[in-house]
Amino acid sequence: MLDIILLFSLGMFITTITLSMYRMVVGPTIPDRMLALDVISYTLTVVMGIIAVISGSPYLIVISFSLALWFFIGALYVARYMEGEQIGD
Amino acid sequence: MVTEISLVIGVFFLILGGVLSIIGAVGLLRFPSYFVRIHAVTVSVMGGSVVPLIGVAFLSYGVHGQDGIVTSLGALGTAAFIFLTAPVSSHAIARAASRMRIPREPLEHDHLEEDGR
Amino acid sequence: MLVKTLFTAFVSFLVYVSLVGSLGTDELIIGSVIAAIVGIMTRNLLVSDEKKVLDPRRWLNALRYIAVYWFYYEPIAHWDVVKRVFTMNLRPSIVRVPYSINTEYGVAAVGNSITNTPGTVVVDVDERRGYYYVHWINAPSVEEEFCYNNISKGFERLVRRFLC
Repeated sequence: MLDIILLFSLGMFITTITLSMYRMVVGPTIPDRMLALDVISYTLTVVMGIIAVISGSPYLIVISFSLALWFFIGALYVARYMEGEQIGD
Repeated sequence: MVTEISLVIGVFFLILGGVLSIIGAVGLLRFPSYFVRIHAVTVSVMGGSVVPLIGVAFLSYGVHGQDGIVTSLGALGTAAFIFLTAPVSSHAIARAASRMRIPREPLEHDHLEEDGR
Repeated sequence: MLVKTLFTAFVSFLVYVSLVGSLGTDELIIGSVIAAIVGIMTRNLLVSDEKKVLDPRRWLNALRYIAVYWFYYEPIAHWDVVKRVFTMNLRPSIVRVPYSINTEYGVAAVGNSITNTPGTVVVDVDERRGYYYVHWINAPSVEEEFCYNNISKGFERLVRRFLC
């Protein structure tokens, strides 16, 4: 029973990733693509958490923390790039 | 007994988060312009990532008992980190988009334009 | 000075442990050494006043902020935006919202709270005149008083008790 619930919720989050992939390909401007990338990254951390529960080892949850950190820095970098400045100004 | 309660709470948060996440993605596809889509993304990040990560923390303790407590702490840390940093990145990209003159079209009043920023 | 260093070292130790993801003896020793170095180097950036860190009432108020925020403001805002996804009933505006907090942590905390609730996003901040520019998905009126009462009054009252 629990396995079915876990796989079902995994399917819901993968549906989210697929839907936002469409916006990332089509999206008319760069900020739209960044929004879609936002949803994909943070949903991927949840997918890694569910897989960590299924497999029973804590290694993937560390990667999910690093992924959230990495996307935060990447978003700040893209924002700086769109304003036409370099990071560190 | 504690593990069963934790299991039920975890499953509830996980399913709730999954539903909110899909609704946020549908809003991302349906809304007409960039500044309106941000709100759908907020639903999908706050309700669709922070809530199920808290659910994963409960669920890991409920399924694996004492062995799953490292996963629980990691999931709680990731949830707190997303809660602190998601608004910062969202705000940075919104400010850059408003300075890039991205079209804001369905908009009734624009005080940002009136103040010349 | 000692409290500042210890608090900064404790925060960086927590970050180190959650990045490593295990509680073995080697990691704890290496983590405390690195946390001590980071704490000595950056103690003046994180904490400005030592008495505020040690006050337990501020920590209780922070917990109260988290509880009220997650169980009152977030569900209401989520339900509102979820309805709007299906009905497409939009009246978006960018409105001015005045604030009256004078610390940087306070301004950042109220802005983050506004951005974290679906339906309102801070687009720009005018620090000289004290305005947030907020994109609101359904703005019945654009007067400053109305927007302040509906968007940021509760957050300011909660945040003022532990970050000012």
